[in-house]
Amino acid sequence: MQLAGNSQVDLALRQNLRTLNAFIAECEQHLKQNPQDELAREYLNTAYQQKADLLAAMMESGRGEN
Amino acid sequence: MHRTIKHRQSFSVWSFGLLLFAASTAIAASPEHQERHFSVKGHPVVVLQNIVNGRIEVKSSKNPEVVVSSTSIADKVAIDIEQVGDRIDISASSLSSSPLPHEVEANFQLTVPEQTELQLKTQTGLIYVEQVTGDMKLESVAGDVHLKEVSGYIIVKTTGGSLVCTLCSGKLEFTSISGGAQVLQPSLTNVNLMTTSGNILYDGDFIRTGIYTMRSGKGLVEVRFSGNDSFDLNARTNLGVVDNQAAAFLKPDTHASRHSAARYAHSLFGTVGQGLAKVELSSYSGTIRILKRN
Repeated sequence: MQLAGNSQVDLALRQNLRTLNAFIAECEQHLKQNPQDELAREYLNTAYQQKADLLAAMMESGRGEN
Repeated sequence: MHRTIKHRQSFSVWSFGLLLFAASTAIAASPEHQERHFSVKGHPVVVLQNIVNGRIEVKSSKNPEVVVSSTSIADKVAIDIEQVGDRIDISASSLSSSPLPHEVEANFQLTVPEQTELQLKTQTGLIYVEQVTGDMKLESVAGDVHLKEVSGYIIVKTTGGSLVCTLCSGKLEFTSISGGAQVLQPSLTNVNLMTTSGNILYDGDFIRTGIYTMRSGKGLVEVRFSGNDSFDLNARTNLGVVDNQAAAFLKPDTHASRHSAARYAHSLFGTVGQGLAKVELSSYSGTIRILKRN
């Protein structure tokens, strides 16, 4: 079975990975200064989970970010 | 003179050849339409995995059958359909490494009984479901999901696609990275919306005893409620702002003993009516807006 390998999907996956990476960096920076911030920690955990799911989807379809 | 004629003849042959090539390409690349009917007895389950691009449209009818209509280019996309009892499995996959998106596209139009369970997945292209009752899981990478008059336990997962849910009832879960969600005129008893950077709009009533959770990392979370609603509100944001445009309708939260508002830079706790439903809104750095509909 082959995948579509089309640019629109590739672009969406890569853009969303960048969005997540930027958000994770922002939350981590905030948590260094405010380690007790539960809400920021919740968002960071969710973003990590989303990134894991996204990377799995990219690996599955052979669209790793080089 | 002779040379000119020869040149013209050669030009004509080339033109004819080009026309023939264009025509044959057009014929080879023209989409093929298929329609298949599957009789069902009870409430069917329809599973559609569109691994290529394309739109999926689902509508209901009173007939005890599932009708699958598809359009794709035959030698570029393989469509497999299998019926096992009341379950219909449909998959579309690419036979081609063509970089042209339209060549690896399969568009589906399904007609199902009103009570049908759905599991639909596509890469790009709209997923549209109208007047279907049943649990559904809808997944898309870059395509939007539009639902109208659907009911059941609805799970929508996108990477960048947005959700518009109009007149939905039952339970709704939405997760996305950059997609937004609009929930309009709902009758939902349980709502859980989460996006990292998209916006969320909830415009409708909160059903008593319902639980509504809406979270956006960086986007706007906007709730428009009616004067008859009854809910406890908990809105909090780290770096964003809470824009309370309904201060006249929000009383201090009478049920609360647990709030530690000081932990959040901006937070709001309050009660509308008797506080029968529970509404939790949060954003990391976006705005939370609360307003009453006119």
